[in-house]
Amino acid sequence: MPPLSRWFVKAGFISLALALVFELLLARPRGLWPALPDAALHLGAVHLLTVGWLLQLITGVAYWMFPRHPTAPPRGDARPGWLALGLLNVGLLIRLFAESWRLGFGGPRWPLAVSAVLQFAAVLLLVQLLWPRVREMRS
Amino acid sequence: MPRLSAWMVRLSLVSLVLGALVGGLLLAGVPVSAPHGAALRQAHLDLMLFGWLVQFVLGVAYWMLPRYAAKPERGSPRLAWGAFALFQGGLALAVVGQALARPSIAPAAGRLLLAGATFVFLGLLWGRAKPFAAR
Repeated sequence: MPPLSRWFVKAGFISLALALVFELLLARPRGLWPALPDAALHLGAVHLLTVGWLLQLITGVAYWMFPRHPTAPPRGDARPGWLALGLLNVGLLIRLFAESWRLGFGGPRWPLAVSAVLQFAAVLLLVQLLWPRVREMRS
Repeated sequence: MPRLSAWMVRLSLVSLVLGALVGGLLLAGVPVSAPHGAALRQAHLDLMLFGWLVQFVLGVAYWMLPRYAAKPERGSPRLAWGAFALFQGGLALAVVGQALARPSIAPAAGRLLLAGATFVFLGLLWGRAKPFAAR
């Protein structure tokens, strides 16, 4: 498995573990940490599962297993993938903090806009990474 | 990768970009009216769940699951392409129908087509979930 795939898969595993922590926090007894906003925890858990875990796991495995180029480098230029890995996880972290801040403590909206831009840029880079590898092959 | 899988994966990547765009606009707080906000959230969900995730997984499964020893190796190609067309039509109806935020049967019809197409794919894949040596 190439290094980029390993990092995507491991980042996905960490997201899955964090999502489970968020779900545990949602199930906490009433009265414990009342300031924690449940709506933000729920949105955070869903986002960690779908973007943090599934999208990163799929990207890591696709980068590893999709048809390789007949020329070197066989998996294409990995740099957009590394950049996407960084942007996606920074964007995700910003969202987790910013949503709790906004919904629980009246924080501003702009960090969520920053998170949206980072995550969308990461998705474009992921598509740039995988698109040339989606090729028909004779079975 | 067979042609059908390549098309499904490509269209799933397009859905991922569109779904992320809609989701990003909603997250950034771009002002939209309340009914449009709810409709766009539903369109975002459909694009990400059916357009991206389900379509990608079905496309890759159609490619990678063990093939039959006899032709057609992946089951009826006509049935698979028919399900592919139903899936795209259903997705378009569901997403556009919701984004318009007007009462219409389009979202329900779209979901019906999506469910039908997914069932056909599951039927095609069912027999291929087998040990590699099995015929």
